[in-house]
Parts: sequence; C-alpha cells; structure tokens
Amino acid sequence: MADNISEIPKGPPQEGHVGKVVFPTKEGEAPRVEAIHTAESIQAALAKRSPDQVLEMIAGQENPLSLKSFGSSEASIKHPDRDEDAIAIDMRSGIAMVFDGVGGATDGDKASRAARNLTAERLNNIPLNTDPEIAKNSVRNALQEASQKVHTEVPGGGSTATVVKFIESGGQRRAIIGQVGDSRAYILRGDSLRQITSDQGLVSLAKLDKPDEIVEQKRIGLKLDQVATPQDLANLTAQERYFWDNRNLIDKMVGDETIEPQIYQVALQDGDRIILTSDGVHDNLTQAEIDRIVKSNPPDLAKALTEKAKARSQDASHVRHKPDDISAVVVDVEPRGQASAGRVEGNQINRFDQQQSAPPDGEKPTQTEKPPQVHDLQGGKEITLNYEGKPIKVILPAGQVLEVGDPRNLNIEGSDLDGIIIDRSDLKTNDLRRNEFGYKGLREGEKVILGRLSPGRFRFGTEVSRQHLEISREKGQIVIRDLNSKYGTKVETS
Amino acid sequence: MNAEEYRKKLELDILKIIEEKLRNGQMDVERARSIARMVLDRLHPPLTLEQIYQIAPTLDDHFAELAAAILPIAHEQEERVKTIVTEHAQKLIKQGKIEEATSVMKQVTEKKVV
Repeated sequence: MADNISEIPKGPPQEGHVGKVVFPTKEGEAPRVEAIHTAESIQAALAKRSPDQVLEMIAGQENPLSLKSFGSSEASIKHPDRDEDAIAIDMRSGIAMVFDGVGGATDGDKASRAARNLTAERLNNIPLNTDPEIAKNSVRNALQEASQKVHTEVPGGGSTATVVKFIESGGQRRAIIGQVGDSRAYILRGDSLRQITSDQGLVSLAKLDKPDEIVEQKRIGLKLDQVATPQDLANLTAQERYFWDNRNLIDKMVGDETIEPQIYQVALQDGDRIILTSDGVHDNLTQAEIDRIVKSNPPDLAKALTEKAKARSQDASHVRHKPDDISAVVVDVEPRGQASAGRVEGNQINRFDQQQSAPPDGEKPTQTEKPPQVHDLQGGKEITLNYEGKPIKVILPAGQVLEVGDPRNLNIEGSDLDGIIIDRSDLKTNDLRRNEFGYKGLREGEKVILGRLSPGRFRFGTEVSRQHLEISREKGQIVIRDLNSKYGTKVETS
Repeated sequence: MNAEEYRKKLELDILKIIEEKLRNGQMDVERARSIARMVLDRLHPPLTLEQIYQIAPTLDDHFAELAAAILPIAHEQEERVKTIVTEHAQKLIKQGKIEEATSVMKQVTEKKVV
C-alpha cells in the first residue's frame, strides 16, 4: 500500500539528488536503480513489473532517458515542522512531481502525500517506451484515481498536482505532463523560459471560457506575475485586484470527487530544462525574478528557487510576501550519447526539431529563406513541426499533397478553425471555401488518422494505405506520423 | 491477442529464456544485458502485428539462444500466410481461374509470397 512508502526527505536537498532515486520504493524492496542479473531477481521483478521494465532493468539502464534531476521542498515559516507540499523524483522510471496540499493543519500534508504516493506508484509502472497517447491516458487515470483516493481517505483535504512522466517513443524523448490546480510546469529552451501549464484557478473563478476571455485571463495572469511594488499593486484595475486578492484560490484539486486533469505533451530537445514549482515559489517571486534565477544557471536550480522564495516569504515588507510551503523540481534533458545510436530515426527527428521549432516563448520563428527540406517518414517515423508560417506539405504516393497549417495562411474563407489540413490535389484556385475541398480542422489536442479506410472529405488514390498517416495537434505543434503505410509519407518544409 | 499483447508475450518468452540460461549458467550477465538492449531497441512500441512478424525472425540473428522464442512466431506466420493463400487460391478456382490459382500456389511453394 502507499502508506508503506516512506516519506520524501524534508528540508534542503540532500547530496545525491542528482539523477538518483529520491522517491523511495516500498519497504524491503531493493532500490530500483539496481540492475538485476540473476534468474531469481528476474523472476521477482516479473511478478511486479512489465516485461519492458524488466528488460530495462537487465539492460542496466540506470538513467535510460539521460535526465538529471534536482528537488527541493521547504516547509512554510508558519509551520516549519510540517511541509504540506510533497515532491517525488525518480529518473530511473522517468517521473517528477510536485503536490501542494490544501486543507490546513491536519489534512493538507496527508492529502498531498496520499496523492503523491498513489500517482507515483501508477506512473512508475508506465514503461519508458510507452506510446505517448497511452502515456497521456495513464497519467490522466493516475490523477483521477489519486483524486478518488484523497476524496475518500482525506475528506477535508486536497492537493494541487503537477506531474511529469518522461517517455521515449520513436526515438523522441517526451514529457507527458498532468496538471490539476495552480502548481506549474515551465520549460527552459535555449534562452527562453515558458510556462507550459495553465493555472486552474483564475479561469474557473471568473468563468472565462471563451477564446478572447482566455486571452484576457492570460494577460491578467502575466500581469499579476510581474507585480513587484506597492505602485504595481495600486495600478491594478478592480478586476485585476480581485484576481490578486484571490490568487490562493483554486477550484480544481486532487481530492475532488471527479476531476479532468489538463494533459500536455512536450517533445524534448537536448538541453531542455523542465521546472516544476508549487505556488510558494511563483507567488513569492515575480516572473522576472524566476526568469533571472533560472538563467543564472545555479548548480542546483531547485534549491536556488526555493531559497529565494523562502527569503521573500520572510520579508513582510514586500507586496508578494506569502508564507507558504515552497517546492521546486528541476529535470535537465541531457544530450544523448552513443547509447541511443540504435534509434537513428529519432536522432534525425531531434535534429530537425532543433532547426525548425519556434522559440518556446511563442515568438514567431525567424523567417529566413531556406531551400525546402523533404523528410521521409516511411516505416512509421514521425515528425513534430510548428504549423505557423508557411504551410507544411505532406506528400502522399502518386504525388497527392496535403497541406497542413494555419487557416490564415491557407486562404480558407470563413473558417473559424485554428488549425487545418487541406487536400490540395484537386486544387484549381487559391480561393478555397469551406466544404468545397477535402479538409479537416484540427483543434489543440485532436488527432486524425487519414487513409482510404476513413477518407472523409478527402479523395485518396489507391496507392494510399487504408490507414496511412496520423496528424495530431499538440501544444501548438503538429505531429505527423506515418502509420507504416505501404508507399510511405514524405513531409516538405520550407 | 492484439499487437501490444503479442509484443509483450514475445518479450516475456525472451525473458524466460534469459532467466533459464542464467539459472543454468549457460549465459553470462553481459550477454543478458546485450540481449535486453537489443530487444528493447527492436521491439519498441507501438508495433503492428505485421511489424512484429517482420522483426521477430531477426532477433536470433546474433543471439541463437532466442530461437526457441522466435520459431513459434515464424511458424505461426507461415501458417497464417498459408491459410490466406489457400483461401485465395480456392476462391480463384471457384471462379474458374485455374492458371492464376496455380501461379499463386507456385509462388508460395517457391517462397515468393512469404
């Protein structure tokens, strides 16, 4: 049972956090970083783990995804002996998580630990080579299960949750992120720090659910993240001040009877840094301060963030001062060595991503003219691309071409879709109108399988396989995957 | 059994071979590690059944001890193809396309289809 799992060490991070298990296994169980190499240990492992995981253990891949981790959690100055945050890190099974307990003296810490322990157990059991879609469902299910457990066992409590399962699929390392409440996940890519998750608090509070209202909510959120002086506070509008005064409130938490966690997927690149924080960090520090600390590249970023936030929480004269439990977890995506040479296709995709991806802060990529590049996906390969800017051409057998891109760049009159695929094979004019040609709108998080089996409005030639390719839109990017089609799929990018 | 269950079953069969060989002293740890790495690389999900049928026969290229796990799959694949081809040939015969049916059967016996 989860209760048998001993607690995460409290206080400052201990030596040895880096790349090692800090989420303890069950009592009596050998540390998971140990490779197994006897018949008996294989037998014992098979009783608890999937064949994939046992093979990974035999292969001795102690850090199979080449991730390096740091974690730090500080109890609030109001109750230094009771940390209601809970963190877990295990790079052996690719998990990192932050929970922030809600419910006060008796229930907050119980809730966050119950949520963490169950979620960690479930995420530990997801093999590292799981398909991303399966991993997303597993993360969602784990959080929902944790919510029911907390709801039943800690009725007065709840917890936020920001959890990450790192996987590798098709040679591409990915972070599958589950989010409930207002803890956060950020990504540092190059010199750009971007918040991946959206806080589940302000939107629900204000019932802002239309696109322009969500934009407004984001604007307000960003503004509040920058408040640093009494003058900044005085400059807030009445609505902004309402949000500021209620920034502690969340209306979604692990512990509700039912929850629908937000799930994100990030295709990782060498050098990426994933940062998880509880609100003790991002409420005490401004976004600019977090940005500065992150970019100063301290030896232990998690510790640096929590120490700075703790110092602020003790400074009653500062407008952001907020005594709270403070936690940060940092995972560095290290460059792969020769160990991954067997997955050549993934390395190619990684290199391509580095060339083509937009900066993580959402800025438009620099528009430089390059000759078109053609990427052959035959054999089930996939590619992740930005869809802004020039359309992406997907070349099917017999020269049939689909174009994928932003409808504003595809000349679709009257389209209210914000992502679209167009069959251009019969195109006579650039003046496309809806319903005239094959198209499929693709909203965030959606995917479509294209092929002769389900042609929809598309007119596929006989050379196109029944299930030829899959196109999905994830986190503002387009993922195109060949489904082992007979004659393959090519993608042309400018 | 779907493709993923089939993939896991194959991995399990390979693990049983590793376990047995380690137990009997017929395999050292380094070889077990090499096999595990190779299997993880080649049986990387998601795979279709067709892909598994294609990959499986390559697993014992360098590790002959895996043949015991691979042979049943190769045999199964052969039987599957036989069934498909026989049914196809019977259909052609019923349609009076004797020459075409003969040609299909010849291709099987000459291993052109498999």
